[in-house]
Amino acid sequence: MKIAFFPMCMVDMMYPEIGIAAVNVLERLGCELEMPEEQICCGQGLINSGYTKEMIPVAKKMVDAYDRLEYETIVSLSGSCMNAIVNDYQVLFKDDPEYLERTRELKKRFFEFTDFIVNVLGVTDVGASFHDTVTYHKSCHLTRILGISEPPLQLLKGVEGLEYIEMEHADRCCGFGGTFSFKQPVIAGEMVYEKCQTIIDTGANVVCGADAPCLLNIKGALGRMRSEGKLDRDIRVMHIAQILDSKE
Amino acid sequence: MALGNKTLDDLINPISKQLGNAKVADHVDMPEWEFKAQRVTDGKSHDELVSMFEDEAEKIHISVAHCKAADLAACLAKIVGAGVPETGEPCTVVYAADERFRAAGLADALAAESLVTKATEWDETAGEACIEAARVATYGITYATAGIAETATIAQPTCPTCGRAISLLPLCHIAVVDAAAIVPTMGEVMADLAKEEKLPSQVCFISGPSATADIELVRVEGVHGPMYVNYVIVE
Amino acid sequence: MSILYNTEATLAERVDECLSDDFKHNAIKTAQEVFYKKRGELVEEMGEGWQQLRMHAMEVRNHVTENLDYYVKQFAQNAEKNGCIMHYAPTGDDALWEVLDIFEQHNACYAVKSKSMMTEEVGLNEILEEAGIKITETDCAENILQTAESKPSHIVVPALHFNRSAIADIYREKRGYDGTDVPEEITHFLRKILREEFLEAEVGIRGCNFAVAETGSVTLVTNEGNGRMVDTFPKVQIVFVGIDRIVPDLDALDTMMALLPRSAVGAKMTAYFSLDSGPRGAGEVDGPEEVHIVLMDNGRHELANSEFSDMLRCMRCGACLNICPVYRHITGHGYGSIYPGPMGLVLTPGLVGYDDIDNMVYACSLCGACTEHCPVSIPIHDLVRQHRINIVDQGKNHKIEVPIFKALGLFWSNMPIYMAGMTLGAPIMELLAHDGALDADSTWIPVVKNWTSTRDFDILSKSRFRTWFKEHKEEQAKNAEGGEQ
Repeated sequence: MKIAFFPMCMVDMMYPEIGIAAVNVLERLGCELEMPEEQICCGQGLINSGYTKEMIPVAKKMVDAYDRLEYETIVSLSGSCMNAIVNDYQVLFKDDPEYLERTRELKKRFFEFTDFIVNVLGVTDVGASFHDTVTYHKSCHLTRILGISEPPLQLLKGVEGLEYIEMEHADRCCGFGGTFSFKQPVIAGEMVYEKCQTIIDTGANVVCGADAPCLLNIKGALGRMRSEGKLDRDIRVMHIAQILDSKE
Repeated sequence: MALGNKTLDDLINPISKQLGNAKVADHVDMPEWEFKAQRVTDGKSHDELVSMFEDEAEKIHISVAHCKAADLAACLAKIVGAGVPETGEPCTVVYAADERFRAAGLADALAAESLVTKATEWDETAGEACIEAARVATYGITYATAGIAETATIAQPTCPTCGRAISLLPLCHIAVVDAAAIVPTMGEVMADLAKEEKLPSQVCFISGPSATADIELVRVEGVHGPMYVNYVIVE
Repeated sequence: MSILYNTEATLAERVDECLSDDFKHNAIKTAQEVFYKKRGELVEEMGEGWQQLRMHAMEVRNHVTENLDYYVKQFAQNAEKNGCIMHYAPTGDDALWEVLDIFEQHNACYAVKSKSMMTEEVGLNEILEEAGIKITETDCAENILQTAESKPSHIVVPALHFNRSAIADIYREKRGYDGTDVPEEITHFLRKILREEFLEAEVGIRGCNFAVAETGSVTLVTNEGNGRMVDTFPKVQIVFVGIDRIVPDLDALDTMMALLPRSAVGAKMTAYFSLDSGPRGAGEVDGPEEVHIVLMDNGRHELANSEFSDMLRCMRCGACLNICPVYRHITGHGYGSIYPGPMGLVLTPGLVGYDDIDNMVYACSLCGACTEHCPVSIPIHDLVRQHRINIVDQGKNHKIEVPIFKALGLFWSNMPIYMAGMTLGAPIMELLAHDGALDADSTWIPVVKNWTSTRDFDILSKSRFRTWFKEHKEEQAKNAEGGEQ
């Protein structure tokens, strides 16, 4: 199956290993991937801070990159960025009929990574093995707005050797919120430390998620807790794609 | 613009303007609603509704008793005959001037209870004295017009023979409700009220003792209204 | 009080104050957990019916909003037919003027009040007290706040920031309480002292949860019974009704009441819910002899037919507060508005504008939990964002941040600039980092410190994913060619 891949900017900038893992998984499942070279970022941080005018060129660039006939299926490695493209762009382009229509068309072809594997490819066992205890953070936009809550869990449960432990309030926001975490550092800090405590309380050795930004936030807080002596063990922070690409 | 003395038009005109209406419509049809909600009471038999009413009542700390119509006075007398709840001290009673209580011989039944020192029938002509009777009463007895199975709620309209104070001021409220008057949801009660030419000055829907959790979320019963609520379901 | 309070403090200062109070912080967190759990159980019990109820409530409330002028008029005329005396208040000041006039006409100087957000909104208590009128809050929590001269920290249980011994002390000092710190004993003391006030007061002041247009009725939902006391004993009653409280008929009222208590406190029904249609009838000895309805707009009509019209569906249940991951940390006091939490972030600037709200609308991570839990499906987090958009469009944003967002817009839409940023940024970050992350040592860097003051920040990777992908595809193509040869 031919698909266009949308890695999201943070994967490109900071975590190429997550993107590589996802490509490995998808290719192993028989997908042939393409990626438009000109795609950069969905620009969500701009509209979420109120800067729609500044976001329009960013969004247009993204629509131009993916709105091509040959891309019948587009797979996003982030629920939040996908939500920005398929839903927020409709707000952004409310006075631009051409781009509004193209965004609506694009929405039909967009799938989130885990949802695509489970509900389009019909696979829950991707052939991975991962012998460790894992908990999963349900990122907000993926779970609540796109309504994708089961596929990641189905995939994790299909991994050989993986022991899944659910955290309390798994769908409570980690406090990233894009520019929120810079604009309201104190509140965001409270939120992520509370999230980390629920992760620690599971006793799991690994926390995973399907949105890299939440992982950046959680990893940053766990790292700080570790260096300040508030956490006495290492907890690995992984993207679900990395677990699905594992043979350990 | 000067303050106060505004007319209805002063209030409405800016709304019309905001809505883009030149004037207020003479009539607005209610649309055909797209959604109708299923309720937990859907498809339940009347017997099931009565037992749901009881189960829900117990969950919200209401004591429930059953009786035949002929035994109503005896049933009520037995409850109040126990005196003040928890202490068992002598008690006083105020009750609605309801024909059904008279027919059941409630006054005599109460008079026969040794712990009932005074029983007062609500008397609209007595004015403030009724309120005083309710203020000092241990028990207030009313006849509800309906019971709602979903929430164990009773509907209690105000009328000259049944003042608001009876179900409000006493330590305990006893609401009598006919089993036949138990309906699935508040919707049925509302539908009946909608048929009335004029609504009562108040219909109070009561579901349990007055309660608060305002101090450290600790539930305390008996705040401004009754501390105890009993239902008597008349078969 | 009016809508905003403690405006001299910034959002950041208010948040710091809230976080420094462990008792308050924990009390709100506990309240959230309790209400969340109870609500969740009831919603689950209703199955499909819950979503259907939400959708129905939404269509009903939207219908009213779309015909708001008609329904306001219908309600007013029918309430008048019921014998209520109507007072029309386009503004809060009009409402205050009307209320003072009622007191003057009756030469009254003593009132009891059942919690009402509308009266808070216009600062009624302060105005009455200035006029020499004694007004007693009768909801336990509101009475605690009034006695302690404090502000609500939660919309349903507003005095949660005081512990039991603080509350007992307040009454020991102000009302001669001589009991223990046990909540039951304090509550029963309040029962005793307030009962006298209910029976003596000349005027009862209350709010209205829903006003029924077709019957001209007002309603009141309480658990403590103070609402019933207020509308049973004082001879004169004043009911504050917002123009956004209207439902078309009794059928719609049932729908709203199936949603409200479940959403607000996780109960199927509150202890009391009264449907009031006019003053006491002939032959009735209790209930008000005179009912004055103050029908108030105070800026609400501007929400109709605007991007915020969804907010007119709000029934003030507080479900959004009880799920909000921000509210649980900053509490009601963090927002500086009588309407706190997610709904407050939408309603407050909707009513007062953007000039005096500091950074309030940024106290939200846009996680959408509020929207998911709202019983009338208000897209709350989208509306919070809409305020942010309007603030920028109206030029009321912080000028210092503009270049940053302009630069981001350029950076994310221009490949050479993006790649140059990466090429330049990665080695610089590398220099500043320890073990691949900016840590506590980087708090001297502006903007970055906002993150690194509490968390580490992974630095830019040395290589781009896109570079790997391109090479990967080239290799695949080469292998394919090789295979073909």
